[in-house]
This record gives sequence, structure tokens and C-alpha cells, in this order.
Amino acid sequence: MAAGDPIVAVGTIKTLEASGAAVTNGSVVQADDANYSLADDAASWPDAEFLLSAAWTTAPTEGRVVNLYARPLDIDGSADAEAPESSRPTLFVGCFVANNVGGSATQHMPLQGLIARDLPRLASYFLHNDSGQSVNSGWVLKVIPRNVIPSP
Amino acid sequence: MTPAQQAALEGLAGRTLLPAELSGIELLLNPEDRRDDLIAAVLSAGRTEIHSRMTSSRGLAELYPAGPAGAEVVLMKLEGAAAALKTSSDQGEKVLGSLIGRQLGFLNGEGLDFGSGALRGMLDQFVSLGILTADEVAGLKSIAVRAAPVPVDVVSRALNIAEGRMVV
Repeated sequence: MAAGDPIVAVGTIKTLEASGAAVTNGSVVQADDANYSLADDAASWPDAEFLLSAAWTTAPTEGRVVNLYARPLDIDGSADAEAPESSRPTLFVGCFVANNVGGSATQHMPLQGLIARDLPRLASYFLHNDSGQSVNSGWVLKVIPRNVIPSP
Repeated sequence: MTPAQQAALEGLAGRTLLPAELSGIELLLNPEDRRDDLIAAVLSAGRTEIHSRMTSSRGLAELYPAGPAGAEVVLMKLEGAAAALKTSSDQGEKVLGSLIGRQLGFLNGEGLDFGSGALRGMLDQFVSLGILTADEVAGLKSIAVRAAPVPVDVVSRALNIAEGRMVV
């Protein structure tokens, strides 16, 4: 590899929710342990990977999803965008595709498409459970800043 | 089960839920594993709706609950009634005979809509006139009746609102 060739770089993982409450089918809940700031958490890199670790007691329908929504914050001074609702995502970031596995076995799911691009400067993040079954409490949402940079 | 949850589910069912149904649903409301699919199944039991369904005499033989022979009996009764009524000296009976004959003509062609309120009302009249039995009319009307299950996502939405998980 020649110097200057593009390589993938990742930043420090940030946990947005360490142990979320149960998410019933159809509901929207906030990953409310932390917000994600590009300037403070990602060296102003605009892209990131998200990882959801979640479990279902009753297996969800194969291929159904948990959506990830963002609520941009401080978009006009200290004014925030509206909090997302199930029929109005505010900002759809992507989705995590569930496997039809129950029994409270934890599934580690990357975002469909892997990379979330052009994220808001500052945002809180929400899950919208569209899997068909309740997500158990204890789910975890993490974000990993990501960029493509020149190799040294 | 909270009063709000019960009200939401009864609103979906369109009726008051029975004590046995409520106690069964109670077990399905654990937020960690709320079984909206099973709750929907409870609410959907016995729910039907009338829909538009064009059916010809050929389709009648297939769809009539008593099968082709039963359908043939119904058709023969209607044809017999049409022929007899047309020869009646009573003007009203003549009109009715003509009406039945014309409907049979439609039935033998493009078919009749067994979900039509007018047709279903006419079939009820045939019972009171002694042309068909109540069971035969019920069989004909059942052709346009289908299951009307409560969708799971509708149950999820109603419960999420009732539980304060969703704001609309």
C-alpha cells in the first residue's frame, strides 16, 4: 500500500444506551444515556457505524427491523428538532435487521448498510421497534466514529 | 391490565371483552415480552366482514357451503319459483317472478355481488316468502363473508398509546 492510499479509520466507541428499558412492538424509545456530537465525540467526522445489541424473549419475525432515528439538537440556537414518533422519524438513520431468534439470546446487529453518513452535528438517538415482538430490557446502542483517511 | 389498556383493546374488538378473555390477555401484557400477536388473535376470534364478491352460477357450485349439489338445489328452487310466479294472476307475484328470473340471468352470466346489501336483503325476503330456507340463504350470504382479523400492528399501536409509550 502506497502512502496516501485511502484506509478506514475508526474513533472511540461511545455508548449511547447501556441498558435500555423494554421496547414494545411499534414504540419509539430514546437511547438516553448520551447524545452524539460530531465535534466532541468524532473529531468532526460525519460518518459512523452503529451497533445494537438486543434480545427478544419471543422470536421476532425474520427480516423485520428495529429502526434508528436521530433527533438533531441545537439546530436553531438551543432549539431542537421534534422528537421522533413511530409514524414520523424526524431523521431516519438506518435499520437493524432482526434474526428470528428468541429465548433472550443477544443479537449483535450492525446497521443495515453498515455506515451512517452525514450525521447531525449533535443529536439524540431513538429506536423504533418494528420487529413484531417486544425487545427485552437491557439493550445496548453504541456508535463508532468512522472515516476514510490517507494512509501514512 | 389497566383501564386504559382494556378500553383500547375493547375499542379494537368493538365489544366488551369477556372475563376469560381479559384474564388470558393479562398474561400477554408483560412489557418484556408483550405478545401483541397473540392478543390480536384473541381479538380476532369470530370477527368477520362482508365484502364485495361477484359470483356466477359456476362459482356458486364451488363456493356454496353445501357444495355443488346444494347449490344446484338452490338454483332449481329459484328457477322453479321464477317460473311459477311469472304465471301467477297476481301482479306483484308476476313482478317477483320476473325479478328472480332476471337475477338468475345475471347469475348465469357475469354473476351477482353477494356482498351487495340489496341482494342480501332480497335473499332475506326469499326466506319469508318460502322460496328458500333460512339455511340456504345463510349459505348464499356466507359467500361474501370473510375473516376480519385485527392486525398486530394495530394492537401494538393501541396498547402503546394506552401505556403512554406513544404520543399521537
